[in-house]
Amino acid sequence: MILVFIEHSGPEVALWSRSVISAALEAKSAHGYRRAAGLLVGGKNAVLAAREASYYGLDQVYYIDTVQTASHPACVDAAVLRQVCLRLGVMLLLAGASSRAKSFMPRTAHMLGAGMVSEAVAFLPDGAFRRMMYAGSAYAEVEVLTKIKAATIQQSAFAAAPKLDAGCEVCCLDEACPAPLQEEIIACSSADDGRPELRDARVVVSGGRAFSNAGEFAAHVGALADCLGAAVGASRSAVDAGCAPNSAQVGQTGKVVSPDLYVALGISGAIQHLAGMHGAKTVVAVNSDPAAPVFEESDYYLVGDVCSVVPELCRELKSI
Amino acid sequence: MARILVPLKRVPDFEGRLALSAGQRSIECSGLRWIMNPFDEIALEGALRLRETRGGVEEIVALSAGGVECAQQLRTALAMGADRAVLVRCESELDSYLTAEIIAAVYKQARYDMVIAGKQAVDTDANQTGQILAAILGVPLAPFASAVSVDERWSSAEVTCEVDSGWETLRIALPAVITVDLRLNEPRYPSLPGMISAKMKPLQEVPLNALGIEYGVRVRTRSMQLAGKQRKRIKVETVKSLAHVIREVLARQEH
Ligand SMILES: Cc1cc2nc3c(=O)[nH]c(=O)nc-3n(C[C@H](O)[C@H](O)[C@H](O)COP(=O)(O)OP(=O)(O)OC[C@H]3O[C@@H](n4cnc5c(N)ncnc54)[C@H](O)[C@@H]3O)c2cc1C
Repeated sequence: MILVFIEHSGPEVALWSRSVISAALEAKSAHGYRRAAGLLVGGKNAVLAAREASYYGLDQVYYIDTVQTASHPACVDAAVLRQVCLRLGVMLLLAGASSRAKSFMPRTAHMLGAGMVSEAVAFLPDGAFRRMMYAGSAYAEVEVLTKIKAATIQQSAFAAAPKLDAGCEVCCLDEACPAPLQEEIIACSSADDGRPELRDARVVVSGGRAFSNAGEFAAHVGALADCLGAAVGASRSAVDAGCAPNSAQVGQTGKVVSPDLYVALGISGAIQHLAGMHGAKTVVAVNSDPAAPVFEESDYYLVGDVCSVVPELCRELKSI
Repeated sequence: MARILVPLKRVPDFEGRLALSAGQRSIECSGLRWIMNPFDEIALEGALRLRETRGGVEEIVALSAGGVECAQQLRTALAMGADRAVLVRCESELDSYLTAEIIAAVYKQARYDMVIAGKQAVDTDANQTGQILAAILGVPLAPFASAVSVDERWSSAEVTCEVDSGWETLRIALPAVITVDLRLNEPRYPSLPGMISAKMKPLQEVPLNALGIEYGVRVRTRSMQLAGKQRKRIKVETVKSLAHVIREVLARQEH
């Protein structure tokens, strides 16, 4: 069977996990598995999120509600997941490409003797996987040679599973939390800016090195984002310059987004940045350099200075 | 005194010029410039700075697995300040799992207090080796580090890790595996005296089977294709028309 590690924030299933559920349903038919189940790990919200997760087309949803802290270290997931996989006889383990899953999935896979595919975008009919390499410049077909297999899923390649009228069975597992913990979280930030989650957002406005400081970045990128109800993204250079938090970086080594609309403001279009925006349905770019490489990767572009274009654009958008 | 192991990978600097080899199984390598994986360079810089600021470091060992050409990147590591280098010779394709097994075998040859590695290699983009290594060795893992501090006795570390929502700081006992993100530091360039002394530092070659490892990957790449999404590339002349384009795109998506 297939097991999907489902992430949740509070009582709600993360949107990207619904993409992983879609991927699992595709794998179930393409790779010929009999069942696809989900697993949620957490405290008291796990059961609520599990109930929601049961409506997305899986055959069964399991949850564990004894892992108390909201932000337990990923070593807990790694160990718990290993136990559950052995107990249920899981042959394909799937998770999203969140920072948490990137941390525990290769560990869990190894503990199961499984080979793992990073950020799969398709399940091929003969049992192989497709994924991207070289900052999104190439697709690779990869074969996993082990009996048990694992993969993280590139969310932009799978639409979120739609909610059905009827749910599947929800069942509590009593797996114990491993002790002692190898890693302890002693501090954390929450960079919640009140805007949509970058990975899940339908519209993303990103800013680059054209902005010289955080104030200027906020006044333009932030303002346009709020005008469009969008999430804020940034290039590496903008993050390095202190214009935006690390968690806003879009790209090969940042987040991969898949919005309906991606607006790139003052971003040159380096391959490492493009890797994060391939999944956007429509790309709009504004850059003062008529030869900016980002224009090659845009559907619509305007040559101009972002500092004058953006305020005018906000006014125009509000007046339509 | 502490020992630090820094695994590093030779990768192509492929910016914009990727082509596939005749068999479509890999990229065409001729004409490409080869570099140390940028994340591994940051990891090495992290190790060097721990020696300079925390002290108590006996040895920093750079390790690479692959063909004889990887010696070039190991020499760069020695020039930056690593004390010695190990090249595990293997001519066949490695996956994250086998790479981690190789690092684990070298780790077990000496008593190391830390393995510090890049979070991903910019060619295969797998982001797995450090995590698998921690599982093989059964030691703690601090992935995606943007700050690392170690206590005086090298018994524990506090590592700030980048996560989706921002950052979290992990406390881990050493020995441990740390993988590094872009913002840990800006790596130094090798100095001229560094490059000269690098020639004298030991670079040991070890065949894969001498480590007691048999060749065996778990994941194999069977073919590749170049990707590329054709965008419309329509030039918009005024801000007003750009506003209309955006409104239309959003209205279309709502249906
Ligand atoms: C290992 C590695 C990983 C990386 N990962 C990532 C990643 O994940 N994400 C990422 O984004 N980058 C990444 N990079 C960095 C990447 O290579 C580029 O350096 C970066 O994306 C450039 O950011 P930028 O476009 O904002 O800056 P620049 O390249 O400096 O471009 C600034 C652009 O703004 C334009 N501009 C300037 N002023 C104005 C103005 N007033 N109005 C309009 N336009 C203006 C300029 O014409 C230029 O095109 C990575 C690099 C490495 C080596």
